[in-house]
Amino acid sequence: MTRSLLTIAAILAAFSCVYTVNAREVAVVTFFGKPIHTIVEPGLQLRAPWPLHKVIRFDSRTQLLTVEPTEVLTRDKKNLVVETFVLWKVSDPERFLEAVGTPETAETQLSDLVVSRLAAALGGREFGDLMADTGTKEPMLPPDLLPGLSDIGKTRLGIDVVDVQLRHIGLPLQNEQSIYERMRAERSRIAKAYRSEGEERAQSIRAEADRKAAEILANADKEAMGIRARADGTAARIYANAYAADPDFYVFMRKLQTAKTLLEPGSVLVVDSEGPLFEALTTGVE
Amino acid sequence: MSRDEAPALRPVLLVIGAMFAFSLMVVFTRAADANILGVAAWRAIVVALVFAASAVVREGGVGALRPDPTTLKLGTWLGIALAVASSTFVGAYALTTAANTIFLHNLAPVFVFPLAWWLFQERAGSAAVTGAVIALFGVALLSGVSLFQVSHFASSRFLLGDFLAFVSAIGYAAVLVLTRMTRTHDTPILGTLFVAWTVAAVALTAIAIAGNGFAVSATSFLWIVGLAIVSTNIPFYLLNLGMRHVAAGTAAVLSLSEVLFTTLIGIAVYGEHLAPIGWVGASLAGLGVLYAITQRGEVDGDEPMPEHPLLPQSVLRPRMYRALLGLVMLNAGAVATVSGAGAVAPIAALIGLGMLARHGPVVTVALLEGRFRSTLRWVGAALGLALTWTVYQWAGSLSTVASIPGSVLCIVVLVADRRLSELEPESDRDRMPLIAVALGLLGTSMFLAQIEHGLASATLEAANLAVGAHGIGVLLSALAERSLTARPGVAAVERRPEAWMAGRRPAVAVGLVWALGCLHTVPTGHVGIIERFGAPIGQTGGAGLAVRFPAPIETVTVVDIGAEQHINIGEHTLMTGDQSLVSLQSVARFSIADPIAYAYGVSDPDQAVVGLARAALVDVVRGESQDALLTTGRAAVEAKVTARLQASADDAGLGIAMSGVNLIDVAVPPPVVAAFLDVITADEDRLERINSAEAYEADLIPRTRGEALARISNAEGEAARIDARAVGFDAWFRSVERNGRKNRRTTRARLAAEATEAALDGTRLIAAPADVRVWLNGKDYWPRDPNLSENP
Repeated sequence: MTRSLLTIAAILAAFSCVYTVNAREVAVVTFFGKPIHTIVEPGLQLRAPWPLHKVIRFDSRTQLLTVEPTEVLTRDKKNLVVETFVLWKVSDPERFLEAVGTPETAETQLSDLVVSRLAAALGGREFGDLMADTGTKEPMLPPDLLPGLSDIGKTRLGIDVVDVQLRHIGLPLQNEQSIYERMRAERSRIAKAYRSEGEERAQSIRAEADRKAAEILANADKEAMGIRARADGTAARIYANAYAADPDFYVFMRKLQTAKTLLEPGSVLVVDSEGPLFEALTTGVE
Repeated sequence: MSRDEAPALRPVLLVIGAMFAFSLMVVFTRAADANILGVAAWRAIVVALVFAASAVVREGGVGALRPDPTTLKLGTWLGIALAVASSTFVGAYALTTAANTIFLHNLAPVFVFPLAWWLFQERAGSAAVTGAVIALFGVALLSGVSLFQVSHFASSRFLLGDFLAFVSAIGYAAVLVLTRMTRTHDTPILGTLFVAWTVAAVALTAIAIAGNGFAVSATSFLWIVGLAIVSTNIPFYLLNLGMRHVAAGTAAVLSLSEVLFTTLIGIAVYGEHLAPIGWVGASLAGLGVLYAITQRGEVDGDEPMPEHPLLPQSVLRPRMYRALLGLVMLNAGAVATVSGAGAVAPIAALIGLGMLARHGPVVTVALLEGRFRSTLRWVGAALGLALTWTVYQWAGSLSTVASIPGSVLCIVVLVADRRLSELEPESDRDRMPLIAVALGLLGTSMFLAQIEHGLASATLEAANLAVGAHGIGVLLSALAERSLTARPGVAAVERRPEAWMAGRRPAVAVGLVWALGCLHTVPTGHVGIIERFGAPIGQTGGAGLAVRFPAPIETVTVVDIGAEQHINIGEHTLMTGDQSLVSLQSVARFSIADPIAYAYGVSDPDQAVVGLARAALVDVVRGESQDALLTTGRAAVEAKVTARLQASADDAGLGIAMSGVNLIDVAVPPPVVAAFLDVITADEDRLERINSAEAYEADLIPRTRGEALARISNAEGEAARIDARAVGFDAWFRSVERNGRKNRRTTRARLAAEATEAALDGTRLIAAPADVRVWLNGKDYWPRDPNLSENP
């Protein structure tokens, strides 16, 4: 029993003298809390057992930090809401341990740093330079922002700022509403133009159609009149020829015809019983 | 021997009053609206404080908080019972239906009767038993219990919940029995309750912290204080006062009135509706309780107890502790499952259930001195079946959890069970080898997962199968009527595992499993990065089997380099160069170009891709016009974003090669969608108006042409008529003229006469002298001589 306990104790003691640092981490070995050396190369390492040596590990990979959306002011006094995306990693584990201790603290400090630097950087830019659909645009963030952050990160926090990017640019809510208003007005203008254009085209088509119709009818009337005139002419010639044979008879016939035409069936004829007409009726013509 | 004597009405009313106060719990719990684990813990804390204060005031100053040994012992047991009842009730509520929880929890009287009998030989009267049966039937109807639905049993989750509710009934029964015990021992009421609730508060707080439910809001806390004082402190005090004179069994039946009160509160306060069958159930529950009160005078005569306990005392005691160990394991596993502590927690609960299934029935039968033998045997069989079924359902889908404490806990339980079994005499020793194997494998699996060993998952599955084999053993043993003996194991199932457990073989087996970890599989399209003590030293040569040292000396990190990865960038609204807004939804496609960089470069490569892709989109979209994005510019934008993302991914050292970024949806933001749609409508309107004008034209012109043709035709017709008339006249005239030439005068006279006749035909002729006035139709006609008088 004692032997097995001793064996277990020995194994435990042996295990407390070795440790591994893998490729995803770096470690700081402290002696009663004082950092004595830093392990950046992965592999098997030796140490004095607890409580003499303590191994504090940090993730050595690049970390992602999304800074809370912050409102910044451009030089032309326009408010922007920007969300920053920062890639960083522990570059100096000892410094990191002393200055911040945990990744969470590091991210808080880095966030504050990024926000203040970003406000300064964007404060020197015109809104129009950031947003332009024509011509060459300037880079969103000034080129000296990243080196500046990186320097401070290295000296103050023991971290390397790998990249800083804006993962979102937006406007404060009320400005966003006014953009929506403008977009709506723009669309409404286009819609109105479409409708008016339709109206214009429709009216011109109708007018043109009406004109064409009138023209067709006029032409037809012209032709019809010509036909009639020709017919009348022919008829007149025939009549004239016929009359020429006996003009006297024609006059007589024409009078008779007129009488027939004048007196429609059912009309009342009042004649002077002493007049020539009545006489003509009773005695006959001639 | 104490018996269920006929107590006065007052203690009964005190107990019922306590139950009414208990039933108010639902009002406070709902109002508190917080994590139920937190509510239970804080309630216990407040209750303990209030009891402490009242004990100081009522039971002799600060000295009342220093209990004598009896008070301490009974109070501690009472506290444990309270914690078990409370936590299992919460667990059951989370896992199974509310109806089942309430019904099974109210089975407490069933356990109170034997417990009271065993602990202090207090026998329940027949009135209490009958009343309990009637009332339980009523509760079953009232809660609409679904115990008898077949589909219910297909779900291991429900089974576990039902079982927890069952355990909570046992806990509640223990609370009642222990309360009765404290009354018969006449310990100070408030002092005992203080001890009990302090123990419960410690246990429940630990559970709440483990389950991440300890934090509650200030408002919730105020309600919890109300809950503690009104429906815990007061009813417990009343219960204790009442149970001085009321037997535990009767109190248990009276406790069923709590369901009734809760139902009535539900109807009165929350406007809940009760189905007709519910009303029948409520009436039955009420009747049962009333029966127990009114008939309580009748007490059965003393029956001699059977004199043949099944297990000798030397076996019974260790067995009891082993069953308790199983109960603890089950409870810990179940609470951990409910609080989402980890994927191995259900397995731990299952192992606990296995231990309980093996020892529970035999211990209970022994405690009941031979009663309910066959029932308990079949309970054991049912538990064995449930175990096997659950294992069958879980097999192949378990996920490992890395935990050194969990691993140690398994070994501790394993060793404790072994040590307890060694207390049993050699001839009656039950080693439970399959449970031991399961515990060992579970612990090993958690340890292997910790060192990222490839066989952790296989070991966990093996642990699961061992529990299943144990379940089959329990079932077979029950069928062979051996489950209630001292050695209920089935040799066919257990002999071999028992042989494995002998001597150093488990250690050798663990060593072998560890050594087998030298085999690493690398699937097709993947590459394995070999790490020695964490340092990458090379890559495996393609897919297949790689033989390396087992973890933790060498580990193999597998990276997928074949398949194209798709990551949803999500939807976001961006500002365009012309200061409009568009909503984009996109997907990034990439493959892993540099496995080493991908595996060690960035802590979360996928999230990095999302973040960088968003940044690239922001940067590209700010230089594009909205119209271009919405219409023709998509492909160009995709190309630009891809190029920019590749550049920033390279800068960040992600080790990926972009295949592309696809804009799967580009749309205007929802607030302006209507305006954009109106433009489309307007365009339609435009076309519609033009079309309608063109239709007018298309209709008008042919019709006009027709009209024109008609006019010409008419003219032609008329011309023909004129012509014909002229020709006809010509013919007629010439004929008349030619023929009349011979006799000119007569012809003319004839013609004139004919013409006159023809003209006058149908004409009224009035001939009158010139000076006669002719009136026709009221008007004067010919001749109109102005000299004539107006009057005829």
